Amino acid sequence: MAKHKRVSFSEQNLVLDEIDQYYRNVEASTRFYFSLFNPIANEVFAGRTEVEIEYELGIISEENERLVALNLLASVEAAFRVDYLQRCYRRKKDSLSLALRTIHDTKGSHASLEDDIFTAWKDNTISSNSIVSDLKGAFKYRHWLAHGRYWEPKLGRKYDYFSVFTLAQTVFSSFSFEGANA
Amino acid sequence: MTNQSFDDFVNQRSKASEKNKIDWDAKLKDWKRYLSIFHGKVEEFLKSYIESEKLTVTKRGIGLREEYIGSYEVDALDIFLGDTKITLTPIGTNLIGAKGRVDMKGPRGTVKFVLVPKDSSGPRISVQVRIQGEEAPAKEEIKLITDWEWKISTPPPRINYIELEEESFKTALMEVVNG
Repeated sequence: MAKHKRVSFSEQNLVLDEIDQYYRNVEASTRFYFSLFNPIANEVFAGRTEVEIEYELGIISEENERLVALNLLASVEAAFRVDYLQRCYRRKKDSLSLALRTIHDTKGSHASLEDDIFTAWKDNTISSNSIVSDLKGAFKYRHWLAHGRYWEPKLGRKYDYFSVFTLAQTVFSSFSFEGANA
Repeated sequence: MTNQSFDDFVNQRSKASEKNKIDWDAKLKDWKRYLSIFHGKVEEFLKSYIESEKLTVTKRGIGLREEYIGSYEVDALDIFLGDTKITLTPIGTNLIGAKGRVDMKGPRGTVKFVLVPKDSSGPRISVQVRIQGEEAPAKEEIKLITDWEWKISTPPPRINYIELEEESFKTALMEVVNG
């Protein structure tokens, strides 16, 4: 274990409530901006029909959802990675921790989230549904968002803020993560 | 390696793939059936108001596209209440944690209806770390969900599923109109 440098945790990773609060603030501000209550509506939307404004609001809202969904998935990734490292640093001895420690021996903090960490969870836990497959699918969406969306993604499922939040809430309420704090 | 063992390997893989194949046509048919149940519930909840012409509910065909299923058409519902329009738009069937979703959108907000396991009260599952040496459960042991029901989802950050009943539907409708 000593051959890999220990990661110091920043404790700046966002929690779901904070991300959701941010999303609601952005969404409410966007809706207000595109409404007739906006004091400068006449100026910024001069010459546009209500349908056109609604269409533009739809595009902006979708973009907001995608950007915040990316943040949600980043928060899920952080939880898995902190848990992975803590199980190794604390030398835990359950089957999941032992599998993760084996990965850590060779890869240190550079373990692959999907191929190594998710697979270890899948192989060493008993779950009431296919949560790890759902996570792997959602992280294809995350890569697509994070790497510039330049290819036609094969995601298999529809993703939006609500569905990604549902997944994130399922993860945080069901997985027994080892946190950053001792 | 013999040809026989390679044959066995190919046959095994091809059988496994056959077994895991999803019948997308059946999935779409099922989704449309549940959507029609949902529409029936909404019309039933609003029956007295529709009959007294205090509001109108109309169906509007919309196109959806989902990976593996392709493009298809389903009905969205529009509720006209005075000069307010409330839309009930189907989102799709191939979603995380739900077999389907319809979003009700009004001038002041959105409420989501989700088709989830009947006994589910929120997006929670059980995940237990296996004791060392314990065998993985066979695939057949993982319970298949057969009973699905439309429920109202509370918004993030505390998603819970509420029973879809006349009272809860009317509350949701007022919420998207009044905020």
